[in-house]
Amino acid sequence: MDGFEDIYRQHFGAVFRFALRCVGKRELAEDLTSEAFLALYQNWDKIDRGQLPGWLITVVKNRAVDHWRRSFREELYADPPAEAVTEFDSQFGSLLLNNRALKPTHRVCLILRYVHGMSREEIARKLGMTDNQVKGALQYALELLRQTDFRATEKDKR
Amino acid sequence: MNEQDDLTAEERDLLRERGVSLEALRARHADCPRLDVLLASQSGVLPDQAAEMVSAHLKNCSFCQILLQDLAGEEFTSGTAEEARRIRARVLAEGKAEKKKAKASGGLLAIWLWRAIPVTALASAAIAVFLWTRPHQSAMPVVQPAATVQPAQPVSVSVQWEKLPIRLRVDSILVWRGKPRTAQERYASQLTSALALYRDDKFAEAADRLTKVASDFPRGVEGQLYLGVSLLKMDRNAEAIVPLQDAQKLGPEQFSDDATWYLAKAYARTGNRVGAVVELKKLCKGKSLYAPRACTAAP
Repeated sequence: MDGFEDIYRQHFGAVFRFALRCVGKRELAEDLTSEAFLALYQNWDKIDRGQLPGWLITVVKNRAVDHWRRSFREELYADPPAEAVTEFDSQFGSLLLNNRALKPTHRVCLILRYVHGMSREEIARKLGMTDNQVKGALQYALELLRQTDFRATEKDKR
Repeated sequence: MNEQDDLTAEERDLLRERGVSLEALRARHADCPRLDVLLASQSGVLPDQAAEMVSAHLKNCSFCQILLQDLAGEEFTSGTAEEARRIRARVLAEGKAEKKKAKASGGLLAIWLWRAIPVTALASAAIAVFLWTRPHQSAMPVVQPAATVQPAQPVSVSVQWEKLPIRLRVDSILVWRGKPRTAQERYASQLTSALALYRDDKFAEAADRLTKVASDFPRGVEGQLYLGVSLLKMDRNAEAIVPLQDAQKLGPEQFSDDATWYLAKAYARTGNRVGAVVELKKLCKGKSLYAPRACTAAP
């Protein structure tokens, strides 16, 4: 198995990132990434290394398709929401959109906290952050929002 | 619980200043897709109808647009050093164990099955050996011997090949956020908790839960199917037959094939060799991943 460790180090990042984008959950992305590399390990002598990381990515993608196909139940989304959500429906939304000082981390934490109603612990788990990181991001984001003159922002927008 | 109970004083002040009603905001967005669904929608892995639903939702929901755009960034999708270490350790451990196991058993015998089959039933045993000692193809497709393995035929892996793999985190069943409201959502919710036990090999507890699921939702194929497999795992073979028959009838095809495969096993274990062969022949005539093994086992 000479070279497996090098290949792993070289491609782990891309494969995991792709897996996470496919399934959206870190634990599941971990499973898919493991399975892809395990498949590689077991077929080490048969695989053309020139096909990496494409081969690994394809394994992950097929497993993700299988995951969604098996988990998906059409009935669960047969009835769309009665009222479509249109535009930002609050000052809060405009604040998020128009405040350029907010970084992605801040926005994501704010939306998950106040729109999706997640606890700080849940956000940390979902995003692979520590509780303290989430707490810090929320505090910083709130401070930025506090400093924002919402009315002025709206005026500028017009 | 009041939604604002866990807010800090700072948060409450800010929201009050801004005139934001969290209750109203959250109610309006209760039907936003979950994070995992949102992210997956951009990777082309969702079934078509789900992808269309998410796409339609995204056109109208700026929160989800922003969330998706931000979540796709590297800062959220990179693996941590701990994750890299864990995955590496798992791959090496499982890879080595598989090799050792294959070497020891020659890949020919599943001992637990032998215990359940009468020694005199040679024909049945032959079927069962073929049936159960070859890897579960849908969970572990065999790589064709070739100089180069094509990525279009990836190898998936399941160490616990003897039980029907869920192949997903059971909390991943697609539901829109919020409490279950419809019968389908209640079904998904009950099924999810039952399958979590199944995933952890707690078959007795899983069977209890799945019995309730199957009773409350007799037309839910997953409930019947995994109930049957859980009962099989506990050697309650005769009891497994009815739910597996129901699952077989309910379909769709993929579930029906799974049910047929395990039904053949239930018949073989209860001494109904004819029944086992009939089910295997059905699979042999079909185009499922079970077909090659079923044809070999019951030519």
